[in-house]
Amino acid sequence: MSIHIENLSYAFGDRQIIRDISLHIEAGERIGIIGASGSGKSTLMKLMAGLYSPQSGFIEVCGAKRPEEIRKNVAMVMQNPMLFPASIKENITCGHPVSDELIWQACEAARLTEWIASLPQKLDSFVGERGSKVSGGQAQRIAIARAIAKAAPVILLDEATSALDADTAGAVLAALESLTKGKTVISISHRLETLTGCNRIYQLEGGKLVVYI
Amino acid sequence: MSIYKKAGEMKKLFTMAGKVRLFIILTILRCPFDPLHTAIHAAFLQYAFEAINKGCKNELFHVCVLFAAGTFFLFIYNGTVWTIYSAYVAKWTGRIRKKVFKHICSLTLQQIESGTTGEWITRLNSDVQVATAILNKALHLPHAVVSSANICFSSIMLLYMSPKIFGLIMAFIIPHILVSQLFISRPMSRYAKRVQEAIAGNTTDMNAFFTCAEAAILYDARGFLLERFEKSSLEIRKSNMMINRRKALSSSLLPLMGLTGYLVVLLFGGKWIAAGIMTFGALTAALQYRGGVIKGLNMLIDSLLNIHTAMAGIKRVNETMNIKSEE
Repeated sequence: MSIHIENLSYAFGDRQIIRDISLHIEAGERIGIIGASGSGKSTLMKLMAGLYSPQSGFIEVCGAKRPEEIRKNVAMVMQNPMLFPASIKENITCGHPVSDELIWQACEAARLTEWIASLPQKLDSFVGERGSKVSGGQAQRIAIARAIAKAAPVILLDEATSALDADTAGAVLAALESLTKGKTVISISHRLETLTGCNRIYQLEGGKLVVYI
Repeated sequence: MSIYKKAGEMKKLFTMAGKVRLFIILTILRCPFDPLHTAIHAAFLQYAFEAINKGCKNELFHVCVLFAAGTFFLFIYNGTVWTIYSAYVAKWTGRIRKKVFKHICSLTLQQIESGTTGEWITRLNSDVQVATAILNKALHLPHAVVSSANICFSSIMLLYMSPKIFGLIMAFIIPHILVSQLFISRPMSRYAKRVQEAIAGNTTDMNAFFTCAEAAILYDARGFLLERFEKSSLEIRKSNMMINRRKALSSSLLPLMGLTGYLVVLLFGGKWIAAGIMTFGALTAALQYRGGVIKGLNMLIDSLLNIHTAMAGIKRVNETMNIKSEE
């Protein structure tokens, strides 16, 4: 259940973003990647999530090499939670057949149960366009519940708590703790202090990955 | 763009939308209306004037009954064909929108990110709207202005020639306007508002894919978003169907009221000619003002203009459908 990246390169037109990166991550490891804005962290995440196809080199996630297969093994929590203009339930299930029991379990793990129980329409409450009817912390926890419900072995965290204030971040961090327990986790951030608890930390600089700690 | 290229682009659009055979059949079925209309009209004038000349009221009555029956069946025929045609066009438009959205959804994230959200929304909304105007928008503002001027001119001429005939025509035009306002225009505004509301919801559903593309692809939610899009598209289609039904009613009402007006003017005109109040020539001239070749000519010019405008949308819709998914 490991991640294997070899000689990976990626460019947007003439701009080379990722240069010849090789990396091996064992199952259950927690890896941190630090880098300045525009250093290619998000591009690397999208490649690891199977959202982009490598232009050269290859990525293998839990034995899967094709992007559509890689995506099945990965869940991702981003800085922007990207909620659909639908109900909480639909945002968690993404239209897939998931039992109410599993949905509530995901909500419990994402510290959402109390808040949802207080809503008149419970799980059927509409979150608005781009989560406009819920707070930033609630939106992020719905996104975490979605990732929990997917039960993927690999979790990618893309600046997951950077847009939250100190009070909200606490609840989100607790939810993230539930999400990442026993999973392979790759966190990216531009701040080192948000990468606590990582086995290894790398720095992305000029498209190359170097060992930071 | 040459006529062959235009024909080629149109063929691509129709093939993509499907049910081309039904479209051809409906178009063929619509064709006889105008020739039949003219034929019935000409025959009626011919036999009615002969009856008037002979002074045979009984024969005139029979001609009028036959004309009324012919007009009634023509009204039923045109109304039926037009209703089926309108329903076809509403579904045809819905199918094109669905296929374009489905195709855009099948593209990779890199391809989607290569264009702006506005560009994709325009390709899906405005381009499809402009392209489908080739079937669902026959007449434009210039035609309304020309026809308004034509109505004003004909009314002044009629008033000058014969205030009585003008009065008779007004007796049909005013109820026609009232019926149109009460039963067609007013509900149309309501339905049009519903369409706009449904489009707003539909655009939100559509936007969700572009603004949440990463989550939609990663969590395999494209089918879910497509289902929501289809649901809101159905709302638009329902409201459009109501609009098209009213349009069909309006299209049926126009020949019914117009031809009935002709009949009454002729019946009264005959009486006035017999009574020596009016000459036969004056009556014929007054009747000639009611119709005209210009109306048909204007419609043709407007239709050609519409096709010309729609070509821009058709070309861009085909362009979108030609983008191959890189995955």
